[in-house]
Amino acid sequence: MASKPGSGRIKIRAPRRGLANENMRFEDAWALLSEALQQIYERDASNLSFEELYRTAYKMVLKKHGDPLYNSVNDLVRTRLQRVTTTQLKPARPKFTLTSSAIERRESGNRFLAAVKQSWEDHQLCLGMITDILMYLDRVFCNDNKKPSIQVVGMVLFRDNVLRNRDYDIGADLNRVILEQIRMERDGDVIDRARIRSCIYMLEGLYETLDDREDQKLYLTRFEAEFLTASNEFYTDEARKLLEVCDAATYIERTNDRLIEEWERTQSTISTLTEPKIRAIVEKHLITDNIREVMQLETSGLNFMLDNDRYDQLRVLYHLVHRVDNSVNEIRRMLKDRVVHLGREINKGIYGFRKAPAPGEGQNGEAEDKSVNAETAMALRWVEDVLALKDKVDKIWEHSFSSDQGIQQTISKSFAEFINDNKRSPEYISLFVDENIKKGLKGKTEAEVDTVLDKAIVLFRYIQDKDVFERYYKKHLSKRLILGRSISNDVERAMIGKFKVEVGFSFTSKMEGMFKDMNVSQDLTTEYKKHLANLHLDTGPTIDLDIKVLTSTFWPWSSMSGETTHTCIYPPELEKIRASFQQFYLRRHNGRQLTWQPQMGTADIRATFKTRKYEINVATYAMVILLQFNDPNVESLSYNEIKTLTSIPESELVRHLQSLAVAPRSRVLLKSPMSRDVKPTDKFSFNGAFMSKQLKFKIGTVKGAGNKVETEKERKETEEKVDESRAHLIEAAIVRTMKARKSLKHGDLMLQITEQLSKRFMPDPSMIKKRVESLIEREYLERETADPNTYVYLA
Amino acid sequence: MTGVHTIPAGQDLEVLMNAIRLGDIKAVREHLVIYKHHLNAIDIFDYSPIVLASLCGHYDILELLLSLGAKCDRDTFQGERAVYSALNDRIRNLLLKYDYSVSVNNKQPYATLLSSLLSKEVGCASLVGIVRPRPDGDMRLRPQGGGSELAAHTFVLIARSKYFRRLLESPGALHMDRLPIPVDTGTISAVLRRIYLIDSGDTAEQRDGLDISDLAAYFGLRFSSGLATDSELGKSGASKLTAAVETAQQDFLRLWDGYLSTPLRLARDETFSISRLSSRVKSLRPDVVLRVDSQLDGDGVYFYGAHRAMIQSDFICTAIRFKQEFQSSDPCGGMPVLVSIDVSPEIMEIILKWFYTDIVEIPPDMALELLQAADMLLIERLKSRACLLITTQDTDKLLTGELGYSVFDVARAGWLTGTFTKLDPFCAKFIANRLEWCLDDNVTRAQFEELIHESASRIQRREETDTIELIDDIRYYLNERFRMRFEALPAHMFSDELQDADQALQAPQEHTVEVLKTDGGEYVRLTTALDELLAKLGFDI
Repeated sequence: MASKPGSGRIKIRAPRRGLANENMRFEDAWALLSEALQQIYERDASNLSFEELYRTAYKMVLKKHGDPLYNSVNDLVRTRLQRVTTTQLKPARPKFTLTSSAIERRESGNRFLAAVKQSWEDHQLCLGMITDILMYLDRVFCNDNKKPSIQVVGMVLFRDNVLRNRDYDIGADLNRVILEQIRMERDGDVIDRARIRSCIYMLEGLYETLDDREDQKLYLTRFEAEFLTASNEFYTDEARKLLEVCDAATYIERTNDRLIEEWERTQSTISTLTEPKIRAIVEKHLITDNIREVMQLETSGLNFMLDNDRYDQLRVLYHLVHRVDNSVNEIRRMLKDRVVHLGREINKGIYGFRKAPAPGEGQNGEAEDKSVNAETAMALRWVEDVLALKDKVDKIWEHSFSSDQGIQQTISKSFAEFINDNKRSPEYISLFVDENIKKGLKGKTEAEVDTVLDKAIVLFRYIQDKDVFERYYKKHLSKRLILGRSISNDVERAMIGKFKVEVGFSFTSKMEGMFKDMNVSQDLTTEYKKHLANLHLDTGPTIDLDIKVLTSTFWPWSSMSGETTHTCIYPPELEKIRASFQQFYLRRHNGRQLTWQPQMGTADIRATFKTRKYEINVATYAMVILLQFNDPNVESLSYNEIKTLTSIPESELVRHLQSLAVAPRSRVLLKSPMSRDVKPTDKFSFNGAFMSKQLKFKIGTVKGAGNKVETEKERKETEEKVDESRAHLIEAAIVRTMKARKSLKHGDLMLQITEQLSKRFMPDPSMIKKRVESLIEREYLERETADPNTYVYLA
Repeated sequence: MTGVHTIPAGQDLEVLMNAIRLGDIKAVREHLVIYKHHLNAIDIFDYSPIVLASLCGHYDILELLLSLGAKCDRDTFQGERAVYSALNDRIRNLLLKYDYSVSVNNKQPYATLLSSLLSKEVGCASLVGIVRPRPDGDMRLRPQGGGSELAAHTFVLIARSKYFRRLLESPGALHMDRLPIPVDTGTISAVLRRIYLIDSGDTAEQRDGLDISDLAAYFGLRFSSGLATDSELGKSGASKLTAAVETAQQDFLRLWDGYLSTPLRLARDETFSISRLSSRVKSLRPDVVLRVDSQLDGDGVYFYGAHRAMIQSDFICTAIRFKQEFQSSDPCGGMPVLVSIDVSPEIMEIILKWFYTDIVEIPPDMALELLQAADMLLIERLKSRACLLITTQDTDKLLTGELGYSVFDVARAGWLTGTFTKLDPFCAKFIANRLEWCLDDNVTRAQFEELIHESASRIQRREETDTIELIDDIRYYLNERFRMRFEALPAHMFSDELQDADQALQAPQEHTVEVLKTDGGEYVRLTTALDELLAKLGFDI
């Protein structure tokens, strides 16, 4: 039954078919085809012969019947679609009567959508089959004659005969039903999303033009605009309603829900193409237009959330605002106001406190002492309060504001603002460090220490007048070093390291010098002891000398010693050893000058009372006073006698006598009359009956040992000092700048100077002007004759 | 080729890629000695070595890679990417020099078709067992030691592997459950890739059990055991692929000759059923049966088994889809789909053979019928081949009608089948070269006049030019025919002109002017005659 090709089987070939030989009437062929197409529409395609239909269409094209075939097919499809519209869609059209209930409306809408969907799917299916059968027509005829393919025309026909039917505006109905259903869903009803989606797909698959341009989708040209208009109206209304009834938290939550809901709608119900547009509408109405008002709501707005650490609400709020404004300016503005407000509240506590004890101030030393102690505590509390606020704000920043860089700046600015409002903040912060290094760090791990110090650095960063801080810090540091109050040198150095990182070497060079002095002094003391040992001196009871030699430029001299020069007449034992050390030191360092600062020193002395011996740690001055009573011949000494014998400066003498004779627990001297004040006529005698629970104790000097806030007087001094050093810095900066630039306008010079110095402090323009005047007087600069506003540098 | 081989991103490949980035040619060469299979590998950024070398502008490395056989044909994603991302023109030209798709591209579509089968058509459902043909014609290969099974087309395996041919012919084979040899999934898939002409370059990987060349030998594959063995590493990728394609063509030719070319012949009144197909054809699991009605008296109806995977006719594919989607009660398709084709059995066989082997070897007298059939069945590539067959002949038989068709039929066929861009110039030149015949011979002249009419009517329809295209073309080639003689003597160089050439050859040099005059006279006579013809037909000249 099988035969092999090519083996000579076929010598006589079959006559060629298909082409010129066969005759064909268009009517006959079309009758066959149209019958088949009708069957396809009747869903009765199973008996059609695909090959025969294809061949018929193929032959019609070859026989140049392509044109009539093309038109006839289109007519057939058109007629069919018109019939579908009349028989299937028209009866399903919804009635938009106002009287009908929501359920009725939904049901009739659903029926209509189902009918549209069904007719669309039918059309696509049948068109697909027709396209298959007419493939040759598409490929050859349409291509050669540049006609749109059967598929494209089929889509156009559907558009024009169904959606834009002359008699029934199915397209408008469709829009209306879909919008109504979406409205229902927005109001909380459940709708059949999938059914709407298929209708939307249909609109996306149809175009205004033949070339299927993306921007010509019916969805975009016919539906989307209506949808957006309806949405605009809905959300205008929604925003108004929400504002009326909701607190801020609810408003934010609802807005967020709406945004999610609309996004979901673009994914599940309408086209994703609309996503950015509908989002813009919701954002505009619910966020841009109203969020400010919401944030300002008194009982629930942003301030409320900040005060009560509503992290979640703040986070949602942040994300909402961030949608419409990347730099979240609205939040930043309000956040700043709130932080500054809270900061000023903290500041207010200080001012309130300082004004209260005004009456006794300045007259009564003790009262002043007390107020100073209390204010020191206040200062520490101020720093702690500020840090607590910072912690709180930082947490919100981290949890709710996505660690937004811009907001961080705002926070910094806010803190800087109120911290610099408080003129004493440099002093307070330095005190805080002092306090922590002295006491607070005991038992804390290194990491904890670091955290505390880092916090201090954060505040330091906000301080504008860094030079003032430097002054206080040096003062406090020097006391810690000299009195040995630092807990750990490492911590001190770490702190200085941090300052160095923040503001650079020049800021810390003197502090580092202080440390160097301390180390050198230690070595020096050891060497001196060796020196003594070598001399084999044998002169009575030895005195253990621990000396600290300080380089005068590193240390904040004046603030340590005050105006008075500190000298005293040392008792002979001491004088000898002092002279010996001086000789020793000057021999080693020729040409240096040693100035003794007895007010800074302390001494351990052993005193014998009636009951027992005690070891007492006292200030050097106190020791000198006590040694006066060492002479067994001395019964009692009057104030004036002591003064003459010791020549201790009066203010110091008073203080030390107070601590030796007045303070109840360390009354090693007796004073008559017994009163709190020391008067020149008072007499002092050794209190042989003194008793103490401890064998070893310390007699503190009244006011002075610890670092406290300054009194008004000291503060004034400090301010003067600061101004003085600022004057120098400004002059230096002016000269430096002018030397480089030779001539400069006044405005430019001001700008340059401010910029150069702002890292350390904010120079006052009037101060700069004064310095310029002074430099002109001293003939460093002169005004240009033509333009008095310009300065010229004089070499 | 679509099957790009992605090596599991290993450290080793990263070493090679970094060496290429740094331009370290020594490291690259040393690396490729050990890891030959990295030559065409793809890293996690979808870079292949040549893409990277091209991008970084390392000419020397690129040259090395290409000389070792790195693929760079523009038909592939990687090759195209390398050419487009070339740093400079020098690099680009180097790549194009090695681009074999330019020189040997007529093999490429066939190779692409085969390669695409493995990824597209295979691997739908999972099935236990090794060589158990499924109803859809896939065959499942299951490694002995477990591991995921692989699917392949039964007919491809039979075409290419002696092992599977034998297996399917022995009746007990279908009960076997696993490959009887120790081999893992990776090796099987590598061999399958080679069967389907996917050159993945993965040869050197040693695994447990048999390696790739062992398995290839076991399967009885006809290609050399290693496409990229040491001796062949130097061979250019182009010639390697050409050789591989040719082997595949031979394999499929044998499949055609031995199995598929044998149709089932039934008398017109007999009913067809699958079971009546020959057992050899049935063993190939055809999913399509093509029915051809012979119109010779006494001849019956022919049924050819075929595979949808190989069918490149849009008509047949659409017919199958139409029947399966809209008409079949069994849409998943356990049964082959029957499609009637309105061509003669001879033409059907030519087309089917071409589907499977890419080979068309027919006498010129069938070329025109093939062209028309290819047009009806919507096979674009075969149309081009048929045109090539028609236009490469230059014989008077096209005028005498000995071929069964004339040059005028060719022109008409060109217009009908949309191949006139290829055929029109041929026809015009042919007529111009034999214009004397067309004008002087009465029978031919009548046919010529008819053609001119038809050409003219085409113009009216298309409204593009107001001259008759055919005549314009003829005038052009006529000009060409004589101009050549004026310009370039001696004329015997142009031996296609019998009479004139002889004259020129015989004429001594001093008679050159005379020859020109003669030729000029002939030219004038022909153009005048043509004008007269047109005037008579009622056209403005």
